[in-house]
Amino acid sequence: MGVVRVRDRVEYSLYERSFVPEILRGLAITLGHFFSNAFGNKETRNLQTVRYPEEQRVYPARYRGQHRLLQREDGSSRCVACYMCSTACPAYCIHIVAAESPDNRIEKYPAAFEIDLLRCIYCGLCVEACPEDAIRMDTGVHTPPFFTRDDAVVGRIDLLSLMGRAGTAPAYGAQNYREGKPRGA
Amino acid sequence: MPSLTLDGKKVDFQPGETIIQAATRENVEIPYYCWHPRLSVAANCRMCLVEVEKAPKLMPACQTAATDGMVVHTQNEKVKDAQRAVHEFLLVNHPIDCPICDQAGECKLQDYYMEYQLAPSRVVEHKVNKPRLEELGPHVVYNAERCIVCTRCVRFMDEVAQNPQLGVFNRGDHSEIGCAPGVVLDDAYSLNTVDVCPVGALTSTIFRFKQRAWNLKRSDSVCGGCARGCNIHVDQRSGVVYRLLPRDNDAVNKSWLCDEGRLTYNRPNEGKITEALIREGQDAPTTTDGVAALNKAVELLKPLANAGKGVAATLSLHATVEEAYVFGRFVKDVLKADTIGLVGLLPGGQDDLLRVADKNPNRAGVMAVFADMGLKPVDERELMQRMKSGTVKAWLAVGHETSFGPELALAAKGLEVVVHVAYARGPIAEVARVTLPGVSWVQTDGTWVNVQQRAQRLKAGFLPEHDAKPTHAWLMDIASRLGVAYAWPSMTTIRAEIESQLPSFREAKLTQVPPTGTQLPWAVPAEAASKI
Ligand code: SF4
Ligand code: SF4
Ligand code: SF4
Ligand code: SF4
Ligand code: FES
Repeated sequence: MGVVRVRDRVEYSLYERSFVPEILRGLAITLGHFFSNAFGNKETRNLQTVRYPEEQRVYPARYRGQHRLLQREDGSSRCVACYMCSTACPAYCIHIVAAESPDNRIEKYPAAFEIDLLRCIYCGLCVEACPEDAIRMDTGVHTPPFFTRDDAVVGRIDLLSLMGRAGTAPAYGAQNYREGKPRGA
Repeated sequence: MPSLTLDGKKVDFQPGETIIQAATRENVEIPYYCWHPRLSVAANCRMCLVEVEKAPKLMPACQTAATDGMVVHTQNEKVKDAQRAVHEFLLVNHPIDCPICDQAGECKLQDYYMEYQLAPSRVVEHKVNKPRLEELGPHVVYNAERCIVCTRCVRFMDEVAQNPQLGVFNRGDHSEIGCAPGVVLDDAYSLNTVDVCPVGALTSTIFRFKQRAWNLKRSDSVCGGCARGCNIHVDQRSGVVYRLLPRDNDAVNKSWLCDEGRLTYNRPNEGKITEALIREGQDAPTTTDGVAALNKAVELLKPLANAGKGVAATLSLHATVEEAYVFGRFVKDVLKADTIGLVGLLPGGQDDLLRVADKNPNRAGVMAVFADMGLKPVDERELMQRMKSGTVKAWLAVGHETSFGPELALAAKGLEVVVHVAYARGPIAEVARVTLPGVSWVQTDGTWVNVQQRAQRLKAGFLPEHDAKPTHAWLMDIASRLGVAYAWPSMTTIRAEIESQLPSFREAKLTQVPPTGTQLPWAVPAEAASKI
């Protein structure tokens, strides 16, 4: 059984019951914050937000950021459209269409590779799943703002054009056991 | 009955059986690659080695005949060692390019590696390189590096297809499968080699790279490519069918499926309509809301139902028995059509294995229903004749599967009323005033009767999209709006009614057709014979 506690009502003084001075006091506090934040300098401000895009937060050194697709030396995608990333993705946001590569040493490549950034939860499982080191989250750029939902779906070309953060190796194609021999040789 | 001892358990067997056959029946798993229950024994992969007491060395279970009193061990250390070693050998030159291999996810090498080897590679030498992209024929691509030379594909072509187009060339680790010069793998059954291949060495050009095996959802159905009605699995993802694979049925197709049948995988996708189409004046049809289209269809059909003259109703020979019955009731009770037609596909290629000339999967079933209901159908030519002469003024076309689509559409141009129910947008949909979206056979719950007079069940593999509905549901909707309410809450009630109303189906047990079908007590035509 719960216990019901009965409290006496708080008695307000006449000054408080008139409300007007208290409202004015509240307005003064709000306006004080407004003016000090609007015109004050960065140090005296009392805010959790920053004035993006003029001011930007410094991201932690290990911030991953958006995905990118890595390139081979010739600029083509290292991705072989194996669907491991899209299988691992818990948000079901990677959409791949595999196709026969015109280069028969590669055989399979993604004709389409799309990530829906609105669905993505930036968990990084796609990066861990990739057997080709073809997808990484090392760009250090956060998700850009979008005007439409369609803009949030980034495709292969965009993903290939992103660069790793300064200091990250470009990671060109690892040696393959065939050592460049053409298929069918 | 003779018996052997398998891992300490007494197992009976038929004389002439091998150890692996006895073990399979007992659900004792012995790994195997080259053995196939429906092919001859080659015993070349050595994966099935087991220990037989008193034998000097391990014996291949697929080849060793079981003998009375034999004592077999499949789980001891010696056998496990052999399995590990054999598997390591099989992988010595294997590229392990699973990321770009279509077999990944349903590959025996992957499964058995996890189950029987699970050790890192010790190979430091360069792997033997072989051709990786050899087009053996129009439908089959061969990757020699992945091949374990089990010769299943070769034996399939020799023994089942009876067209020895494949052979093993070269020796040792340079062995590979190929065709003799001037020969291409173009047999009508060539894609079965892709199924029997336990690894990803043979891939099918129609499925290659389209989807990953683990993304596909599987349902059971029957092939609609011809009247044989081979049993199939339908592999689909998000409502798109990617491939049809054979489903075992000893009475019909054993484990096989012809290439022509597999190529019908795209029928449920091509031109698929899931929204109703409506056409005003001479314009092209535009999509519309399902209820609006239904109301329009009812409005068009109402005066005809009362007049009962100059009305044609046709059904496709791809309809199920249940649909044929509902159609029959509809045209008799509601539409009062005076021309009943059956449309279908023209005869095509046949052989003495599976393919029959009749390319309509349910001719036997639809004909039986029509005969029992006293409906006398005309064919496409007669129908066109009647349309041109003006005897037919309105047409209800159920199903679009006909070889005369364009001609029929041309003949029907002048008709005032054409109402169509179809799952794909064909020529008839272009001239129809209203087209109601149906569902294809892979989304239909129903029964087909094949050329062997065997009733086989189609299962609805996935739900209809948008406004699409099975044919019988549309006909019932139209009927109820025209004042005839049928009391068929489920397929089972329709089947029960067919059993009780139609003499041909009295013994058919339509309500309980097992997964491999039931033989109906009807006369089997000569063309049903098969050498498979
Ligand atoms: S980061 Fe996670 S949610 Fe985003 S695409 Fe990769 S696996 Fe999917
Ligand atoms: S896991 Fe890597 S190689 Fe495979 S599809 Fe994704 S990005 Fe491409
Ligand atoms: S056959 Fe294909 S899936 Fe199987 S192990 Fe080899 S590369 Fe991997
Ligand atoms: S292609 Fe496949 S079925 Fe044929 S021998 Fe090689 S592994 Fe066996
Ligand atoms: S299955 Fe017995 S040797 Fe291949």
